[in-house]
Order: sequence, then C-alpha cells, then structure tokens
Amino acid sequence: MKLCEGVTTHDALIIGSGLAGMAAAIEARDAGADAAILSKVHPLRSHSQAAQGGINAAIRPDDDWRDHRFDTVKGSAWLADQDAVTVLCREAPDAIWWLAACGVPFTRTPEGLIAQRAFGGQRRNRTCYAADKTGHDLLHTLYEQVQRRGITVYEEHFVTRLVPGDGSWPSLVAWDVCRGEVRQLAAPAILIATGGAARVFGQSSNALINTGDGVALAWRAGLPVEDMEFFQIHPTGLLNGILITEGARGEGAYLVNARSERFMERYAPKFMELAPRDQVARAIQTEIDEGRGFPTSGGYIHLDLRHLGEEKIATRLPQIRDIAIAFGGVDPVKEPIPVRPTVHYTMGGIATDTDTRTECPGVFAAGEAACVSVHGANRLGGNSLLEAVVYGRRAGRNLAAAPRAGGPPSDDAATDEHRRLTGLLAREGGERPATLRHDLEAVMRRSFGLFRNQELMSQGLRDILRLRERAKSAAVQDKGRTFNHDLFLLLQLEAMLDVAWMCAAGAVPRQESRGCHYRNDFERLDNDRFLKHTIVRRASDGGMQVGYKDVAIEDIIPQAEVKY
Amino acid sequence: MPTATFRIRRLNPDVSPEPYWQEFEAAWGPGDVVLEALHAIQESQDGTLAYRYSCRGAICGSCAVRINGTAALACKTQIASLDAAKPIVLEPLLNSPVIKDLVVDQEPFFASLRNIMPWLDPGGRDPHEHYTIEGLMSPSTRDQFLRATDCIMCQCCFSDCPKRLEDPRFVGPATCLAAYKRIHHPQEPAPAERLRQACQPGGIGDCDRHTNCVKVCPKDCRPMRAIMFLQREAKEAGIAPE
Repeated sequence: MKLCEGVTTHDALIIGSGLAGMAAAIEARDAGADAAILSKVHPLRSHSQAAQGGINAAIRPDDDWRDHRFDTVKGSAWLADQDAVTVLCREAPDAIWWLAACGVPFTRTPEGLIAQRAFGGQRRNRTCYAADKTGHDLLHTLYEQVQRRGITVYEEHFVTRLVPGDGSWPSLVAWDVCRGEVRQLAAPAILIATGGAARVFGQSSNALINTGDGVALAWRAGLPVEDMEFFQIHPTGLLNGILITEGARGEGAYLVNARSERFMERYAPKFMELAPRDQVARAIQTEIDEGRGFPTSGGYIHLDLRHLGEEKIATRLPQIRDIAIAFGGVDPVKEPIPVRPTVHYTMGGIATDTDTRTECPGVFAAGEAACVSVHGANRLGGNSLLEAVVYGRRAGRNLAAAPRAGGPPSDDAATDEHRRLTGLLAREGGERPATLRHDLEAVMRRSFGLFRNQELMSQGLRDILRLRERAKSAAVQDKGRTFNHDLFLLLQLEAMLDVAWMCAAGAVPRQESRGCHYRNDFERLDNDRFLKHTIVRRASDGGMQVGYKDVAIEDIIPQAEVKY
Repeated sequence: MPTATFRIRRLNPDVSPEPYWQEFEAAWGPGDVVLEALHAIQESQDGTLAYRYSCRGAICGSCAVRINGTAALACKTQIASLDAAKPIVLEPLLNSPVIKDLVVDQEPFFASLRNIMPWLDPGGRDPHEHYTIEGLMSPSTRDQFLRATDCIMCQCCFSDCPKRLEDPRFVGPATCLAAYKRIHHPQEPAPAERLRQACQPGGIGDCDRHTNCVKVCPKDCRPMRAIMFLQREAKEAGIAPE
C-alpha cells in the first residue's frame, strides 16, 4: 500500500456513482463547479440500474403532485417528513423532463405521450418507465452526460474515511483499489451518495456491493443517522435474493406451499396473492417457519405461473422467465419458481434537511444513503429512482453554491488511514471476513427480519456486538498491493457491522409496529409514543447514542392505522 | 453435491509479471453459477483471488470473464450448462491488459467508446413533443434501437472480437452499437453527422463479420446486425466508408 502525499482538491467531491451521485455531478458542473466522482466500482456497475419498474411523477394535466404527496405520506405509515415529500413530488415532473432531455428512452403511449403504469399504494397510474429496465436506462443515460461534460471519475476508489472540516474544508481518504494507493482529497463540499445497505441481511435483492459504506463513513465521523431500523422486505425473491417482480402475481401467479395449498386464503382471503407487500411477505415466512414450506436451501415456497400458459408468460413476463431460467434454474412454463422474501431497500440513512445538508458544514447526502425522509417506514414502488434524481440534482446545485472559505486541510488523515489499512493487511491468524459476514447475515435475518420482538432483537444486538469484537482481529489472506479483493471485503464488512448496530439500536426501543418494522409483541402503530424519527450517532467513547426527532407534519394528519 | 475443477489463469503483478495456471475444486448444485464458485474458492481456499462483480443478476456488466475460451458473464453461466467432467477454464477477457487474475483494465474499452462521443447533444426533438418510436422507425430499426439500449457494457464482444485483436484501431462491436443508438435516437440533433463519424477509419467499415459479438452477447444486443444496418444506411446516404 502506497501513501500519496499532499491533498488533491476539487470544487466538489461526490462519493458514489449511482443515479443520485451522477445527477449531482451533472448539476454541479452545469452550475460551473469542478465536481469529481469517486466510486468503489465503475459508474455503470452501480445498483441503480437494477431498478425495473419505473419512476413516479404527476405529469398528466389530470394528475396533481399533491395526490402523489398524499399517497407517499400514507404509504410511509405517516413517518415521512411532509416538507421533504413536497419537494419530491413537486419537482418530480421536472425531473422526468430533464431525464428525457438527457436522452432516457421512456416508453410512450400510442398517442406519443410518456407512458405510466400502475404501482402499489397509488390511486392512479403515475409510474413512468422504460420497458422493464428503467434504472438501467437512467443510469446509462446519466453516465453518457457525465462523459459529455468531461467530469472526473475516480473509478474503483474506495473511500475509507470522511474528515469533517475543522475551520478547513471537509476531506476524505480514498484507497485506489487497482493501484494500491491511498490519497486524501478535499473540497468545499462533499456529497455522500453511496446507496443502500440491504446486504447486511444476505438474502437481498441488492447488488453485492450494497454494504452501506457511506452511512458507516458518516456515522464514524459523528454525523446523525436516521431511521436505520427500517429495511423494506419484498415478498418474492429467488433463493439467491434476486427479485421476481410483483407483476408476476399481478398477471395471476399463485403462491403455493409444500402441501400444494394456496395459503394466502388463510391470510388475506379477499386480496389473496395481491395483498400488500408486507402482509404477503409475512405470510410466506410463516408458512416456511411453521414447516409448510419446502425445507431445503433454507426454506422456500413456490410461485406458480404454469396455469398462465406459455404464450401469456412469453408476452407479459419475458424478463421474469429469463431471470427464473438463468438464476433460479427453472423454466416457469414447466415448473413453479422457488421463492422467499428478500430484503429490498434501506429507508434510513444519513440525516439531511430538504437541501441535502447534514449536520456537518460542507457535507451533504442524497439518495438511498440519505434519510431526508421521504419514505418513512415504507417506500412506495417508483419513489426510489425519483428520490435519487430529485435530491441528487438538488444536492448538485447546493454543492456548487457551497461557501469556499477555509481551504484544504493537511494530509494527516491520509497518513493515519494509510497506517490503519497497513495494519489491517498485517493482521495474521484471525477469522476470514467471509466467515464473519455469513454469521452477521444470519443474525440479521433471525433477529431483524419480518418478525421482530424484544427477545429476538436483544439477542441480535448482543450477537452484533460480539461480532464487532471478533472483527477486530479479522485477517485477510491477500497481503498484496494490486486489486486486493480480500481487503475490499474486509472494509465492506466493517461498514456492514456498523450498519447492523445502527439497525439494532433503533429497532429495540421502538415498541410498536410501523411499516416494515413489525413486532409480534407490539402489533399496532403507536403514534403517541413513536411517531418520531430515530436518530443514532457515534458517541465520543465509540458507543451508540440513540435519540429521536419530530416528524415534519403539515396538513396530512396521521391516522391510527394505514388502511387500504 | 458434485464437484467441478476450475482451472484459473492467475496473475499477480506484485509477485511476478508471468501468468500461471491454478486448479481449484468446488462443490456445486443445481442452478449454481460460475460466480458462486469463484466466491466459494475466494472464501475458503484462496483469499488472494481477484475478480469483479456487483449485481449478480446480469444487469451491471461487471463479471465478464472467458469461460472455456468464450467471453460470458460469470453470474449468468450455470455450471450445469458446462461439461463438469472436464476442468472449467476461466481466463481474463482479451483485448485488455490484465491487472490481476480475472480483473482487466477497462480503459481501452471505454476509451474506444468515447471515440464516438456516446451521448445525446441538446438541440434535437423536444421530448415534450408527442411521438412514438413506431411512428419514427421501421420495425427492424426499432428492434435494433431497443436492443442497443439493452447493452450493459460488459465488454464480452470487445474481448472476443477477432478484428479488434488483429487491428486495435477498430473501435469494437459495443462502440458501433452505441453509435447505432445515437444515430437512431429520436432526439438526436445531427444523425447524418453521427453516421459520417461512425464511418471513419476504425469504425463500422472495419468489421470483418466474424459474428462472435452476436454469439457472446449476454443481452442479445446483436452488435454486428447494427453494424450491417449502419453500413447500408451509409451507402444509401452516399457516405459509405472506403
């Protein structure tokens, strides 16, 4: 590992190259700033592109952003901040036209308008899309525009430390994975846009890189992190976690247990397979837990499409058929697909105001890594891409306008971080990062999954703290300088252990069920005690402080339940 | 569970500039893909093994390697589809310098892409305008345009293009496909200029029609078909390359 002396400066630094990061870079550059992106992968490998369904916006004359806002707040189990949702929904139409002008090939209606499809929890068709690969088209289009502007991208640079400014600019330390170099970069403004953290559960629809690095960076630097107990769980993932869209059930697929029963009739006789996501997910897990699922590979049930017939499957669900064949090893025309719930989205993140500012001067956050909060306890489909674009663009404008007083700090942090990383490489004889990661995933699934309660969660918190102790001696086998994949995995594990602790610290004291936080010892919403955001931060002794923050409530009055 | 032998071409520049072969055994079950075998080997046999991945769902384009001599996504290649009685040979992609083990330098690929300025410039059709792709394009153009938008830049076609191997001035199939996307984009302000640019030396006229790009593409984007369409369009427009 080589230490590069000095501090490289830009007008703005953006950590993360998904939709939020690239939208910010484009806006900052268009406002005249020399913005640079750092990403631990190439920008086109970012997880934003896995989004299939679409992006919400009230773009029709007969729709209204205020209706979109109401649907979002209700879907959030009243926990979203209504001022932040106002920004999201009011700026949504402009975001769609900006994306279209950048070149996103949105699917159009026969009349030539941008088409919109129906998504859960919304009272009208509001989800714009590009076939069933909306995120892919958005990400590639924004990367084209990043190239067009000649924006600097530090590819495969893993940011391992964030340093708040002390009269100087904030800075960061990045590890150049290919070259094995450590260097410090500083700017008047730094944006964290590193995406979600659902990999802490192992069984997840997320890319393997979604380990919450940016949230952990901010937490270690003492910044407040909000609502980390809320992880959305999707009912139907393949056994390796890859998503099978709700559209399959929308077309009429059955959920069947090992006794060939359509078990949803016991849980939601009216809506059956199309009951709300959280209910369906809990029903599937109950079947597995009570021994009515298929017992191998950790348990699963069947999603059966066979009665739809080959023609309907080929025309309506071609992608699903491809995914099932390539990643599930079954052709849904001939066999049912093994599925189980999969962790899908991180609602919590670095606490920001509606201008993407964090508590630390010059440090901003946007997208899934941030919590502004527009999703509250449960995100609506089609609002994640929207948040990334709307708040990413907003961040970009704020980065460019950040005050330039101060100047770069010394390169002491790089020296420190180089010493730390060299120390990690020198460790011998400890456990492998993968062993600890698998144990962590099992703890998170057991204790913070679909069903939570005091006993499970307390046990989970103890286990996480024990894993954190074990990780202090974790060792890598690769001691080399060039593309040290083993060290990469250890740094990701460190972030995951921080994220897991934040999740546990927020979940244990929240004695209610709200959105995806479901407790069988407190089954109801408790607005009197818990209509508030959890705020965790790192105490000066390294411990976890837990506090609360009021929800921004304007005209939408929270109800005692969320009823559809 | 059955086991398979993975014969991996290794290179660690920290130790030696010479590549070498190493064999690993890994257990596998139905539905398991090559990427999972790589994880198993890295986790429990050799922590120094380097390879790229991200989505493990064939959408991010990170994990392309050569499997038994042909470029493919490690996440999409089921071990059951290979002959597990023989060693499964894994090598880094061609036409790019190797950084370490199965990790190659992506810069030659993206530098070739930047040659055709793969972005939309302002000044074309206003997206507010009502239009349909069907109304603007013939069915075959529309089909190829949508295939061009499916490209995940995984570099499989770039790796296995014999023309690129023999003449590095050729920009490669994915870049030509990106040119197709630009030229036919409904909002492109200067399609004729773009087509002329694609016809420059090293561009669409240099394709030798080996068809490898069509065979190895994990998203069925058919780059050579796009090249042939562009060649025809260039001829009709009187700007065919030499």
